[in-house]
Amino acid sequence: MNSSTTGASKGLRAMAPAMVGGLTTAGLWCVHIALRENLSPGDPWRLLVTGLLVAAFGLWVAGYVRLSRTLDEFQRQRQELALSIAFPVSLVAAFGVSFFAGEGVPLGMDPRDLPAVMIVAYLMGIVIAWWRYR
Amino acid sequence: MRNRLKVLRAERDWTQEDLARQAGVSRQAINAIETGKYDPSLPLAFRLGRIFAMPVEKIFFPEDPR
Repeated sequence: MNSSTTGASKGLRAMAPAMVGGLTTAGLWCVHIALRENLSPGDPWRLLVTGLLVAAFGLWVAGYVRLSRTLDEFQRQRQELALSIAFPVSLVAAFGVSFFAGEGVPLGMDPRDLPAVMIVAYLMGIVIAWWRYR
Repeated sequence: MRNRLKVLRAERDWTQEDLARQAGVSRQAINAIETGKYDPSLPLAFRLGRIFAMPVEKIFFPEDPR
């Protein structure tokens, strides 16, 4: 096995928990959206999927933290740039949605989908960081 | 900051992957340093100096040498 293959497989091994967590979260999120359209609040299936969704999200976060520990200084700088975009966008979105919802202003957005805004902001940050250092 | 990393690497017939492995960083890091998009930390700069067996200031130098 040559060095680049070893490096790639090492990178994939480090990424695996975050990828599994991310994909599981995405799948359960879709199931949750489908269930909340069809089942009433408090339904045991809804509660079960909600619990699993939170656990999967936790798994993704743990995988991401583990992955970030394996990054070198350049990769960390790219992540820092991505997070410097995602963090303020997420804060403003969370602040805006929660306060407007509290005031009874309809924003046309389910507050439960707020994490999706944060994830999209982070992905935008990743693309911008990749573009900046390509 | 400018650097002679690409020239030094080419003189030794090393790929970016070879140098990255010796320096303990990713190939993308070496590429970003070579293209001037990323300035390495002091520990990494010294590590590169050790790999090329020369002082850091012979590899890295300021954009404007004044």
